[in-house]
This record gives sequence, C-alpha cells and structure tokens, in this order.
Amino acid sequence: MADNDLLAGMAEREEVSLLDILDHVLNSGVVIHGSLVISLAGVDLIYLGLNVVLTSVETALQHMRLEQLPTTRR
Amino acid sequence: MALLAYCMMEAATMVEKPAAGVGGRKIDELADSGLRCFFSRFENREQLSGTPAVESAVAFHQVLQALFQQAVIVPFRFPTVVDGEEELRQHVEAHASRYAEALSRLRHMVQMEIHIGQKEEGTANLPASGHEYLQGRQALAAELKTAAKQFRQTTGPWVAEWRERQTKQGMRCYALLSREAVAGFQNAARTLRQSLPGARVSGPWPPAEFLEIKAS
Repeated sequence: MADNDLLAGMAEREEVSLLDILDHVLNSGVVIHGSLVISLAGVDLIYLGLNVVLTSVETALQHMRLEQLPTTRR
Repeated sequence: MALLAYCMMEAATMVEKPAAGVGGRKIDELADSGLRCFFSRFENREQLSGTPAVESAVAFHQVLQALFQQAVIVPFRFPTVVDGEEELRQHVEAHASRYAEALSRLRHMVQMEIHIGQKEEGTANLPASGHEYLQGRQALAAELKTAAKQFRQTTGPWVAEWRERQTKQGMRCYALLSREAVAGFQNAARTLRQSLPGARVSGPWPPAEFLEIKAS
C-alpha cells in the first residue's frame, strides 16, 4: 500500500470542532499512573482548566441549540 | 526535567515529525523495545502549566494528527507528564508487549465516531410525574438505540468493529475501519445524517477506543 493511499481518506475530516479535539485529548489514550497532573499548590491546573473550558463550550452549544429552536405561537 | 508524552508507534515505521509541538517545543523521541515514543522537554511541570491550556491541547492534537496521518499511534492522554526520559523508558519497557500487540493489530485502522445527541427538552414539556419522566427516558433511550442501529447498518460494509456507549449527551458510536474505507464510511454516514439532524460524524481519529489497554 502506498503512502498516498494511506493519506487518501484523511483529507476529508468532518466536523472536527474544538470540543471534539478537547474531548479526545483529555479522554482518549494511555495514562501513566501518577503522571496526569500538572499542578501548582495542589491544584491540577491544566486538567481543571481544560475541563472548565470543555464544560463551558458544551453549555454554550446547548444554549445555541435552544436559541435555534423555532418559536411556537399560541 | 519534565517530559510531555505524545504517543507511541512501531519503531520500524518511517515518519516525518512535525517541526514543533506544545509550546513550540522540539519533538524528541526515544526508541525502546520495538517502539518509538514521542515527547517534548520542559524545564519543569510549572513551565508547561504556564502555557495556555487550550492552545497546548490543540498543539498536542496537531502533533498526534501529523503522526497519525502517517501511521497508527497509541496516544497518551493529555497532559501526560513524566519526570525525565528514564521514567518514560521504564513505562515503555514495562508495557511494550501490549503496545506492540495493539499497534500491530490496528496497523491500518482508524476510528470514526458518531455522536447522536438527545433532543433538548423545553420547559413546557417537563414530566408531570416520576413515572412520566422514566417513560420519557425509556423512549429516548430506544430512540437513540434505533438511530445507532441505523448508522451501524448503513455503514456496516466499511466497518470492522463497532462499539456504542450511552452518555449524558446521548449515544456515542465508535467504528473501527481501515484507512481505505474512510471515504466510503463518510459517504454512507452523510446520507443518513441528513435524516438525523442531531447526529455528528467525526474522524478519522487514532483507534483509541479499540486499544484494549487499561491505564497503568
């Protein structure tokens, strides 16, 4: 199989959002025990920070979806 | 010295490394037990903590994608940081056989994902009782399963393995397929997605859901 064949399917990436990317890098992959902490004064800064961002993006998307719902007239 | 680990691949695989990784750092690698492990060096953990978290995560993702476009990888979860090359080497040596088996089994494979979202409930439709609430939950779960089944059937000819997981946001489906099957899968999923507006298809991703490697 040629390298070009390997890459053929990769050009058409669909709908990869920041949310997808954060979700993947934070939740997929191997963990080395005790290493997943970048902390300062006992607070897991990066992990905590990214989870807050992730939650915020999710909440924002939910609000956007709600706003896009058609309004009903009574 | 703190090392941020990106991923592993088979040592014999020839790949071109990205010019820079998280925080603009050079990407180094170590080879051990038939595996190549990619990482960036930082003075200490605080130096990495100092870089903006989202930018770091996106840069991490870009490194993984650049390597994954060339060969299958076993990614590390972000941010996996170890205290020096020796610690990383010890981990690779200790688990080399499992990683090698996974890389060999998934050599030409990728992972596609389908997220089937739940419908947003308006306040006018709040359940009147606990019984009604549970009935609603059951109906929703059945709806998600039906949608997942439709996707599975439609994309079936391209899929080697399929997994599903129900989450708070809906249903997640993971399809393992060969790299050559991606375009076919995408076309099939696209036709079905038009009738299921709550569904999103993404990928190809490294086949992390099919690694069968537990945290260690």
